[in-house]
This record gives sequence, C-alpha cells and structure tokens, in this order.
Amino acid sequence: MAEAPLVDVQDVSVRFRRRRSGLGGLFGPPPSFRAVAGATLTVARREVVGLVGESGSGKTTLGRTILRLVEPSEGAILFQGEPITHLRERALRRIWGRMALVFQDPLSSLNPRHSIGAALAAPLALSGTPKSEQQDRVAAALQRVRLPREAAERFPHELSGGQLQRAALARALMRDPVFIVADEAVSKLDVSVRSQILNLFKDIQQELETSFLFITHDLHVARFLCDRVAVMFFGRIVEVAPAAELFRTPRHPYTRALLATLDEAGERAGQRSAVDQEAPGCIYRAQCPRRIGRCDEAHPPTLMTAPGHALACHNPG
Amino acid sequence: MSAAAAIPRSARRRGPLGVLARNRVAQCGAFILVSTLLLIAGIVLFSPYDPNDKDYMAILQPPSLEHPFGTDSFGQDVLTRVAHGARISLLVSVGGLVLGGLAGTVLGMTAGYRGGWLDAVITRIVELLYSFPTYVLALCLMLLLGYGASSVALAIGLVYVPNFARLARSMTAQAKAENYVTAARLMGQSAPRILAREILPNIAAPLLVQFSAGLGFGIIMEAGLSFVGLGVQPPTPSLGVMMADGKDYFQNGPWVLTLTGLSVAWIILGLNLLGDGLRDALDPRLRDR
Amino acid sequence: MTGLALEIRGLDLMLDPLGRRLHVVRSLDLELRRGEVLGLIGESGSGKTMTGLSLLRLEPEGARLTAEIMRAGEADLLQSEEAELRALRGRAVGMIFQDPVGAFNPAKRIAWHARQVLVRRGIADWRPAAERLLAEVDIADTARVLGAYPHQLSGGMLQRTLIALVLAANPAVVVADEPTTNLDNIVEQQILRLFRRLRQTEDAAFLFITHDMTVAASLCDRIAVMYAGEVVEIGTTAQLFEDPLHPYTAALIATARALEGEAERLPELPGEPPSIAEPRTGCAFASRCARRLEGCTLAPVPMIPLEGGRRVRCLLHG
Repeated sequence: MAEAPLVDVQDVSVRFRRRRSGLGGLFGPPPSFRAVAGATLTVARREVVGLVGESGSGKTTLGRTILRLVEPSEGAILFQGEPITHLRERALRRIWGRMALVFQDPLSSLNPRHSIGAALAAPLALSGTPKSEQQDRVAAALQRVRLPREAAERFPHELSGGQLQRAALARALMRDPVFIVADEAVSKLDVSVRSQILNLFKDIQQELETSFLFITHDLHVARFLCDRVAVMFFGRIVEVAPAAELFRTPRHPYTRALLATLDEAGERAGQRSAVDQEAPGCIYRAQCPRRIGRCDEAHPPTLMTAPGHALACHNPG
Repeated sequence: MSAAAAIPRSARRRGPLGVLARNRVAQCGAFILVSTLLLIAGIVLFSPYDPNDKDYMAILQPPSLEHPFGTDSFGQDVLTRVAHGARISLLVSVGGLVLGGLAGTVLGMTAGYRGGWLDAVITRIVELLYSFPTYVLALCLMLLLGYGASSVALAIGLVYVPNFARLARSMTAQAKAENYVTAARLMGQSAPRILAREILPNIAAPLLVQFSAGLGFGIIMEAGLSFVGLGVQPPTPSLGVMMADGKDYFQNGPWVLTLTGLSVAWIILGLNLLGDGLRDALDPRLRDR
Repeated sequence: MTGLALEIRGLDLMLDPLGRRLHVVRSLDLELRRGEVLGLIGESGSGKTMTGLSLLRLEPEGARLTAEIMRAGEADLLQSEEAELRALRGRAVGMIFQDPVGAFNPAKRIAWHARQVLVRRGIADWRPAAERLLAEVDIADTARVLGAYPHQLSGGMLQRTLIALVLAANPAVVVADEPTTNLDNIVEQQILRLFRRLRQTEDAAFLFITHDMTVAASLCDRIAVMYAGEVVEIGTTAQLFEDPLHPYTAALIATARALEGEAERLPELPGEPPSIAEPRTGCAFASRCARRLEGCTLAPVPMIPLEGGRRVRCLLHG
C-alpha cells in the first residue's frame, strides 16, 4: 500500500462574502464568491507540487487554506493524516510548527523593527531554547541559505531583494517544517538573482527532503522545480499531472492554451471573458475550442486518465 | 559562493528622537519645554519662599525684583506658587495620560486584533465615552470619586481612553493584515505576544504623538476643573486653583490671574509645538514636502 | 533630416532625492529607425524606466537631465518650455504604461478619452475614427468598449485601448514600459502578437522596455541591455542571442535558455546588481564578472563600436 499523503485536500471550497454594493445590495442574501471550488489535491512526502494559474484563479487562496490561514467552507484538509479543516488557532499553533509559508514580497513578511537575527530567533525563544544555542542555530540557518553571518544584525530595509528572500526562507526553515507553501516566491526578484534563489530552493528541498507547494504563474519555474503540477482556472483545479507529462501531453484545453503561450507559434487562445460561477456547466466552456453539448450541462467530474494524471474535462484533447 | 560578501549598513530608521533633529517646530517646542521645566525645578528647589508662606505684611504687591510675579492676597510669592502649581498640574496631566494611554491602547489593540463581537462591544463603549462632552464626563467622575489631584488624573485618563483606543484599533487592524503578522502567527506566536512584539513597535510612534499632544489638553482640563473648584483643592497650589483665587481680586491685583494664565499658555504652547512637530514628521503623507 | 525616428546622444539623468545625488542614466546613446522595435532590457533600478520617462520629458521633479542630442522625428526633446513639451508629449513620443488604469481618467468613459485624442488631431468626426482605431487593436465590440468606464474593462482590454489611443496621435516614437508584465500569460501573448502586427502596419518606432529576455527576443529587431544606469551592449536580436559579447548579456541569455530548456540547475550570476547610489570607478558589472580584467575597475569603460552597428561596453572586446 502506498504511503499516506502528507497533505490531503479533499473537495475543498472557499467562499468569500462579497461586499454589498449599491442600493440593490441591501436586499437579498449576501452575495458570495467561490475563490476555490471543489479542489482535490495531495502532496506526498518529499514531493514538490506546483500550482499554476492566472491571477484570480484562486491559487493563493488554496495555498492559504491548506495552511489554515483561511477556513474552508466545504471539504476536508488532512495534514499527516490528521483532519485540520476546522481547528481553532490554539490547536493550529501545534500544526504550524511543521508548516511554513514563503511570501511573494519578502520585505513585507519581515517585521521592519526586528533585525534578521531576532526574526529568526523568535520561534526558538518561544520554545525555550537557551540564548547561546539560539545564536548557533540562527548562524546555521543563515549559512544554509548562503547569507553571511553578519546578516543577523541587519534590519530588513538594509538587505537587497535576493538577500531578503534568503532571510525569509531561513526563517521559514527555523522550526524544521515538513511542508512549505511558497507563494510566487521568485516572481518579484530580478532576473539575475532569480536563478540563485531557484537553485537554492532546489538544493534545500533535496537536502532537507521538505515537501513544497510551489504557487507560481510562471510555467518555466513550475517545470524547473516541481514533480507534479496542478493547473487552476477560476477556482477549480482542471488538471493535475507529473510535470514532465503535463508539459509533454497536456490534455485539458486550458492547460493547452496556457502552454501554448510558451511557444509563440502555438494555437490561438480565446479571449478571456467573465465567468458565471453559479451557472451549470464547465467554467472554461466560454473560451474552450473543444466545447461540446455536455459542457453546458455540468462541470466535468475529475477523473484519473492515467496513473497520477487527473483531469476535469468532457472532451479532452 | 556567498550571496553577499558584505551587506552595507544603512542609517537606522528615524525614531521620534531622530525626528527631533530635523523638525524645526518640534525643536522649538522641545526647547520651550525643557527650559521651562529647568526653570520650574530651579524655583522649586532654590526659591527663598515656600509656596504656603504667608506674609501679611506684603499682600497683593505688584511684580518687583523681590517678587517677580508679585504676591497674592495672602502675601504668598506668585512665582513660587506658579512653579509648584505647574509641577502638580504637569504630574496630574502626565499621570492621567499614562492611565488613559495604557487603557486605551490595550482596549484598542485588543479590539483591532480580535475583531468580531469583542471589537463591536469595545468600539460601542468607546463611542459612548466619546460622545459625552469632555467636561461633563470629567465632572461626573469627580462627583463619583470626590475631589483631589488623583481624581483629576483619573478624569483626564478617562477622557483620553477613546482617543487612544480609536487610534490603536485602526492601526492594529491595519497591521494585522501585514504579512509579517501572518508570518509570526505561523511561527506559533500567541496573540498577546504578537501584539506586544510585532505590532506595538510599529504603531508606537503615532501613539506617542497623541500622548504629547494630549498633555497640553490635560493641563487645561486640570486648570478648568480646579478653577471651578472641583479639582485640586486649596491650599495645594495648582495652576487652576491659583487662577480661581486670582479672579476674586483681579481688580486689586490683576497680575496674579494674568501671569498665572500666561504661564499656562506658555507651557501648552511648548507641548503643542512638540506634538505638532512630531505628528508632521512621523506622518508619511506630510513628510516629503 | 536624418531619417531616424529617435536619436539620443549622451543622455545623463541625475536625481536628487533628499540631497543624495543619484546618477540613474549615464551617457546613453540610442537611435531608432522608423518602423523599428528596440528592446530596452534591464533589471529593477537599471535606469530603463527613467530612460523612457526622459524621452517624454517626464523626469522626476528636481532631476537634472543633460544630453547632446535628443530628437524624436522632427521634434527637439531638449526644450525647456513646459508648454512646448506638453505639445510634444503624445505627438512626438507616446507612452504605454505597465499599468494602463493610471493612464485613464476613472470618471470618464472610453469614448471621452478617444475624443480628446482625435479632436486634438483635428478629426471632428471622431466616432468612426475611434471605432476604426479600436478595431485595429483587435477589439471586436467597439461600441461596448467606447461606452464603458475604464474599471469595467479587463486589464488586457484596457491595455489594447491605451495602445490604440497612443497610436491615434501618430507619434514618431512609442515608449512601451513593461506593457505586458501585469497581464496573465495568455493575455500577454495576445498583446505581444498585437505589437508584432502593429510594427508591420504603423510607421512609429517602438522602444519596448522589459525585464524579460524572452519577451524581447520574440518582438524586437534590436536589443539594448542596461545595467546600473548604462547601456552595456546593443545589437540586433540575432547578434545578441547567437553571440552575446558582454558577460552580463551572456548570463541573462544563459539563464533564460536554461529555464526554457529542461535544465537540472540554472546558471547563476553571483551577487546582486549594485546600488545606484554607490560610487564607482570602473565597470559596474566588474564585481560579478567571471572574466574581469585588471583594467576593469580602474577607469570607466567606454562604449566600443564593433562591426554591423553593434556596440559593447566591455574591455574584453576593446
């Protein structure tokens, strides 16, 4: 029997209440918006799963929901076999020791009033680690992300973009997490610095055997880092497959359109238009070149088309 | 290969003290305050008169070299009494603002961080306090607690709770959405620790500005309450008590009320200049002009 | 008349924030022929955006701009009269921003914006002209777009509209500053396709500012690479990609190639770009350069002209 997945997301939906607008908003039920709709995804131990999609596809919300910074409206989330779907913050604190988040903008994720060393030592102080050991562990963490020792005495605004993302990664690693969500962790970095950080992610993943959920809009980055890739469109995961397979033989029409952007001679993608989430039928049908009659009736169920390859499409290519 | 052989050290962020070095208005206010405080200390320590020394041979003497601010109807030296009074007024005002600032900040930060029903309850209470006219609120409290310096301090504190609470609440709610707070939560820090360690240092500057701006008003309140006889009680010299006395014999000795009042105005001018200067310098919207 | 759409010689731009002097663009030479697309590549802080703003004479307040020559078509951009500069903006040089929302008045419909541009150009019967313009940038339901407020249009649609309005003024040069960076992959591809088509039909020259080598390669005739305020290499796209001469250009291209190929590891460029505030004596790239020579840090490296119109700021090729 296969090892149980580290993270198991089962049919999770997240509804956000929309702000009422105008006079009409005063009446009727509060409008809501499904940022994530029926997402099912697993992350195995030592696995790097990519989550790709365009802005507004719900990939960031799904990442935060797995970390339980957001509470799902439906579905279940299991972490190391334990249901964490509706845990309260006090109970979550125990789980969070084994999870971490790396933000898109490292500067905003570090408190401007704390030195890098203080930020890194904070979780250690909490668990009662003696001062001298704290310093050693901070130094070791800085070394692991290839920052010089004196970075501990610097404040966030004194570091450059690449150094900040290293420091943020070092902090994420302080409690030896088994699972890290990286949300567009390299997309704000300069080109010449980005490859350093991408290599660093890869090294650390291999060295520490950490599992990653790597959220990105950059397909090249996903292919470089990830074992498996999930593609999201308007809150739904439309296709999940091993990275090499997904890039070689994409089956969902949306995945194909997305991959076609990598290669300018690719097929012409339809224009993006507003999607009515509540109407029955496939969410991608308005843009889909392979639309058939059934697409208007119901959103397609997610089926395994090959080992490890999940697909939600009535008429895959 | 190390990513950064050397990381240049840049200037530290400007705190309130750094601001003082750049802002003219704040400098002016600080100068007035410090020199006046030194003067008060000097008079309290070295004045040949005691504030309650009565000299019935020298009643209501106009200002002279011997008595620079003249004497009052008991022959007491007005300058000495102003210095002692200012000391008490300042203590009452500072004490009141410390109380109000602490209570308001704790309430506001709790409301802003927790949100939900607790926020709703605290916000309503604060709004209720805010909607009372300042002096009515203070007078009610005086009637409940009785007169005296500590009651005045409490009243000033109560009046200032809503100001601090509202400011702390909105800034905490804003800071709560920052990524570094999310990061701290994920690091397992508890709510009180996050409030004290992560959020407070980032919102402290505007609270300090509020504090310095409030001191002036605290003195006015003390003077006002004491003036109508509901504050500090004679014979303890406070600025309000002395002005109340002075008005009774304004016709015969106008200098008592006038010079005491001018002293109050002078101290408040210093406090307000300092507060305004700090506010301008710390408000990013006003900074780069 | 030189036949050039844009000619810049010796452009320097100094900023002066809080008394710190920042030399953000250093002795920059560029020239564009009519109908040409020049890619201006660089990382954040390399001076590429400031170069673009200088062409519109929208440099920040208090900045000092000097140049020997700065002309767009017939117009001299070194004017100092604000009124004359205002007349040149849009007509001589048009600008397409990264964020199209900021270019529109949020309280006015698209039709109002179109009328402003067209009436200014002397076209009284503006409505059919506006519809033609929008059709040119692949907008199908022109009537809906003209009647819409900016916030009612998607980012891609708004960017198309902005492109149409900028081109409507018939400028000699269009500066496009990262026009696709904020857009989703699929929409980005569509806008790039639009640019590729427009360069065939319009006689304007395009200065396409981007940080993305791949985007530049897919669109530009020539590419200028900026690093720390200086152009370090300029040449045709084919020249640069087949035989990059400057080590920085080579590193950028190697990284882009590795990410597109299925590399296990990416080639790394050590260190980070220098701060523009740091004083420098020689080549700004020297500290990160694997092929550094002794002379590199001693004196500023001049631009070295090579065959075929290429220029490179590197002693290895002197």
